[in-house]
Amino acid sequence: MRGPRQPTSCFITGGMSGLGLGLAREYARRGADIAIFDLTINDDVLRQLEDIRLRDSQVITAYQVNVTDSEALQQAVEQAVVAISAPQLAIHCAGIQRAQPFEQLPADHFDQVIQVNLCGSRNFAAAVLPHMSGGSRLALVASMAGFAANYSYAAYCASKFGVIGLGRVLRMEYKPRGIEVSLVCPPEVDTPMVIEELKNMHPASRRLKDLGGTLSLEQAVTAILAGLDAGRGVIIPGGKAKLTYFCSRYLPDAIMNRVVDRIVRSELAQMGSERGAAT
Amino acid sequence: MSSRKIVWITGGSSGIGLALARHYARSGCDIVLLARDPGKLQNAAAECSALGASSEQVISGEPVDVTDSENLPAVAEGLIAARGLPDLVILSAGAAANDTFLDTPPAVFDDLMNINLGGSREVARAVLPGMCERGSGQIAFVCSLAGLMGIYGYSAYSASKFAVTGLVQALRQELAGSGVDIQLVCPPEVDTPMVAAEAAHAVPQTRFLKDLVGTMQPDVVAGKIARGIERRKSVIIPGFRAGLMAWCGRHFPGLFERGSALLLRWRFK
Repeated sequence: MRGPRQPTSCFITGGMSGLGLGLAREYARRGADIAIFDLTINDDVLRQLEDIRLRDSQVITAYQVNVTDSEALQQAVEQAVVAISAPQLAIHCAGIQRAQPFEQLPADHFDQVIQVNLCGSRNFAAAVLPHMSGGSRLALVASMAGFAANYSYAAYCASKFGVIGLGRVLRMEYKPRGIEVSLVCPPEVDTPMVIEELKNMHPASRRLKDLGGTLSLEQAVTAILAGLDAGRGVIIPGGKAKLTYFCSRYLPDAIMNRVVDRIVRSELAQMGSERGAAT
Repeated sequence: MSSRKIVWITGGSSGIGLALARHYARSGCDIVLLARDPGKLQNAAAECSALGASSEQVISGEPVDVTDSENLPAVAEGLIAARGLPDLVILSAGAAANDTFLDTPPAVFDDLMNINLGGSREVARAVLPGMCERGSGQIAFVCSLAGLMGIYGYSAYSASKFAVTGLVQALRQELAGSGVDIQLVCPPEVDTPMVAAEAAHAVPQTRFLKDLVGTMQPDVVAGKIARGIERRKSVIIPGFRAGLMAWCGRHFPGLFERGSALLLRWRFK
């Protein structure tokens, strides 16, 4: 198998919740030392990770840091390298979402999404890559919205398309050194970020996201782990998401666009009539 | 208002923007060039006026920094009030940086994001409400082939241009049926001042990969872009080799990446 050997040290941003925590749990179970980088550190979560680890000698540690602060992140990563060792697997999971139709989306919300999702990926990659050696792997968690746009997702799509662009360049630059780059593009997964978003999701976004399917956290984590184990460059968890990826590549834009536009139009028309009925 | 088409071009004082300005001047449009340097703007506006098809055409330059989010909305509003709402806005202001990832400082990364992504976004935001209300208009985002595929040495540039691609795809969905067309323009390397400035310290791997696609002349590219804009194509990739490259990258991304990796290894062993 082309895949890497099991990583014995794993650095994860956004590892206190959602996909990041799901992955941290699995690698803790498999016996890896774990360093988590997140905005807030929850001691209960750390204790849970310690409880499920394979060996008592495994180090589970966490650093409170904002991924948008490149210097602080770099320092935290250096501390983790001293505490554990250089990462054999580095996963960037930290991400945020601000969904709103473009004209209503405030510029500072847009910037914030770019800062965390895209510049955060850059900062993490820049912090870990100098420590990484041949055979190790950097995984950037992008999204299906990194290759297929979604209604009211202007900022999120821009940030996640950007992550894909960044990842593709990094792969080209680091392949000669034996460091692999994986781009992870999950569809909707029930994580705290998505649960927050569901509170007022645009109906057109909802319909389009249904095309990519929704996965439970366990399903998504299992699929991502399998992709990382197999050493895949692009990891797309879920059958519907894979189908969407396939369509976005092989169907002509004109057809994809027409399908999407029809869905959006029907949802907008329905919203319009509901609003008309309400007034 | 006159019946002449009103065209705004950001980054219109040089490179692809200026070449497009010359093209639209010859086709008899009223033009507003938006760029930072007042001197270069004046020269560009004079050059375009001399090419104008009729003496009634109004061609002028407006000094503005597209990343200046405080000033930009007021400038755009003033222009709309004075000259009318544009029919076509071409977002051509951009910057590039060619360096390997760890040699690209975070500040450069942020700058490219602000100029390439943020600047285009803010100009689009300034004209969209008017265009939507009128029910017509075109906004062409000048992105890059590097916005569709990763290129060695372009981590910051590709990230910013991929982000533009994502923004454009999302916007296109939102504006479908509104009468406003959003277009994505992905040229290969074009012989412009931006590229010339970069050539002095280009990363050899980048140079090698870009030579596979070739360099186009600004006027040739502008002609092809203008034709795509006229045909209201949603994605415009000027040049046969660029089109082929984009096609391969999209349909066979794995093969394409392995191929480029092999070529790079063969050339830079």
